[in-house]
Amino acid sequence: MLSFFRVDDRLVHGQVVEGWIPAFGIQALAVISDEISADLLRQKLIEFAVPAGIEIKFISLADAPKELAAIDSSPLKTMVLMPSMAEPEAMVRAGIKISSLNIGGLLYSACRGLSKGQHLSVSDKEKEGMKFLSMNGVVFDGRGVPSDISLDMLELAGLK
Amino acid sequence: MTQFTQILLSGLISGILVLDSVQFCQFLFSRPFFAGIILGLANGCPIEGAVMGLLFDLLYSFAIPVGGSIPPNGLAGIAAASIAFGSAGFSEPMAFFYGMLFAWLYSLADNKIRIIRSSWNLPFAEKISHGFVSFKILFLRSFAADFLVIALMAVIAGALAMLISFCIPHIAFIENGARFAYSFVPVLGISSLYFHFRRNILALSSRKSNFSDAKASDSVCGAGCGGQSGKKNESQSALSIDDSDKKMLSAVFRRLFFIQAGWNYERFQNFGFLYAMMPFIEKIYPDPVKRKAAMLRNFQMVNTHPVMASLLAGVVARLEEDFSAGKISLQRLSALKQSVSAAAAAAGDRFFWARLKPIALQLGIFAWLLAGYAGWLFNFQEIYSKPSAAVLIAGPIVSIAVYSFFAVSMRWNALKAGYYGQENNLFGLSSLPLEKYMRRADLSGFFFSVALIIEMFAFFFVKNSAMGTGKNLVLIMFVLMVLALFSGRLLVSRGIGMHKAATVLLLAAIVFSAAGVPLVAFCL
Repeated sequence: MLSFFRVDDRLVHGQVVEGWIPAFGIQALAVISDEISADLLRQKLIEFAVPAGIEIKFISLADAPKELAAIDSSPLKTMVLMPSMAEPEAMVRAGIKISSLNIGGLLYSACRGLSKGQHLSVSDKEKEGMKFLSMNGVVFDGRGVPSDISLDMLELAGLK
Repeated sequence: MTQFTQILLSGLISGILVLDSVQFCQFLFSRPFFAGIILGLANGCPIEGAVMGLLFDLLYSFAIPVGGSIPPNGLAGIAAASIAFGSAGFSEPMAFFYGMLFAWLYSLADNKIRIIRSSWNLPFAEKISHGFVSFKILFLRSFAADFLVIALMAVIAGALAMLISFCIPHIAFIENGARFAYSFVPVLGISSLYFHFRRNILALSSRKSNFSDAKASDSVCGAGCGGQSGKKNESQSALSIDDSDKKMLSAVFRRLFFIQAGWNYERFQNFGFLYAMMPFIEKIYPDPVKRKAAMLRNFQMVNTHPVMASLLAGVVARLEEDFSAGKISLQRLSALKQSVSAAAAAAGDRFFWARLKPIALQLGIFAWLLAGYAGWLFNFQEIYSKPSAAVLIAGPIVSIAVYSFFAVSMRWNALKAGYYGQENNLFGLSSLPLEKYMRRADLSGFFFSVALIIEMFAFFFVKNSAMGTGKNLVLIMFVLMVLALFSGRLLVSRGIGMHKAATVLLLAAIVFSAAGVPLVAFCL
């Protein structure tokens, strides 16, 4: 069962393991990224961060439609993690339906129009991606942990 | 002492203590359990300060700062509460809830300071490229910002509290509602401890662990690693630390206490990280041009747990060495830096914030109990003799000592593990005894929570039989207590914070009280 989608370049970290997993009773994680699904060492590092008993899968973009359909029909409540805005964009283009997208952190990649001074900052390319996603019915939810106040991502990106 | 000097003194104390919570060290002198006694002394109410401080700490046990989120700040809460009680004449329940308001307000202010500090990044990067760097001034500015904001907030809280108690008469139904809600705060806190650790225990018992050394070493082996486990590898390299390495590592170790100085929302711990990395960078890059480039690189985004940042520093130093020797690309370096920092952060958040911090609090409570003081539970000073100052301070000191012992030794061990780590032990991560710690912490945290529940019910019956409370009333109170205890199950499983829960409880109690329900009779 697909529980929800999250974009965060830190992927699995404290906000996911102490915030979302317990609050939503998440039983499995799926990381969608071409880079990570081809990198065994980084996979091992991510697995290290996952609490005991939570399953984790690494999926490439090409396999995403097939794998996500399989996850959706499995009984495990699964949270989908993506490292950037490019992955959800590609997935929606491939016909996967995303109704709500949690944006937990867009931090690490360099050159993203800095000095906005916000927790979440958005580059021009990501802005384009967000525009596309929003036109396709995706609602953004900008917060790190469930108890945060949700930031208006469209306003933050100057799309409003 | 006049009220005004008391308020100013409280501002000064909270300003100093707040530095420990983010900017420097995190020994937990900023935890409200400890701060409550000091601020209570300043306001002429050490016992009430200590009790309210403990309740803040208990209620906010799991309001933890993960990945840059800012929970309500218990220190700001206890500062406002002890001023309101000791200097403005609020009742203890009203003072506590007044403090909760400021705990929340400070988290908003903290958020703003961290946004403002983002604007310090570009000018500092500019300075790096011109070859002139002084961290001192920047750290002082950063310290001053936190100091001034909380001190100002304490003064405002004091002034407002005095204004309120001067202008607004006591409204009985609000007082009674607050008193009722306040008497259930310990139950809510204990409930949150119990259900958090119960959840961890259930996860432990039903499934296998991911933290095993064997698993880490089996499939990640690059060329040339035999069947060695991570642990062996670590101890072998630990033997070979030469004197110059040791000197450099201890310099970095000392600098890492400033890892969160200058925390900002654009790049998180970048100022502290670069400061800690300087001895490494100076050694690896004698050439000034390459050194500048390395400094700018290490001035980028860093987000990890403050204790586990030591591991990251060691790993990045090793990766920088590999990069300067042409063994890895820049892209690989930053990708690995990011993955290691997230993995280390997850482990640090889980062990230090979500387990050791609440467990250290539980141990502090048991220290009080052993010294014969349990008056914090049901506020029954009438029956119990007043605890001495030595007993009061013993609880928080035990709590701080336990936490800091683990945190400081982990800082050193993680730094070594990271620096001598290999790919086959996940850069030292799987050579640290985190799995063992986590399991033991879950077991002891659960055991201590059960002990606290037993203590709570035992003292409940002792108190009420000593006071000769009627049987029916005791029964009603008992049922309410059990309900409050079980509410934690729902709250924890939904991820609802105890700050919210206590606020809702307060509002509901005031509404019921206004409607004429005699709530005071049901106070615990």
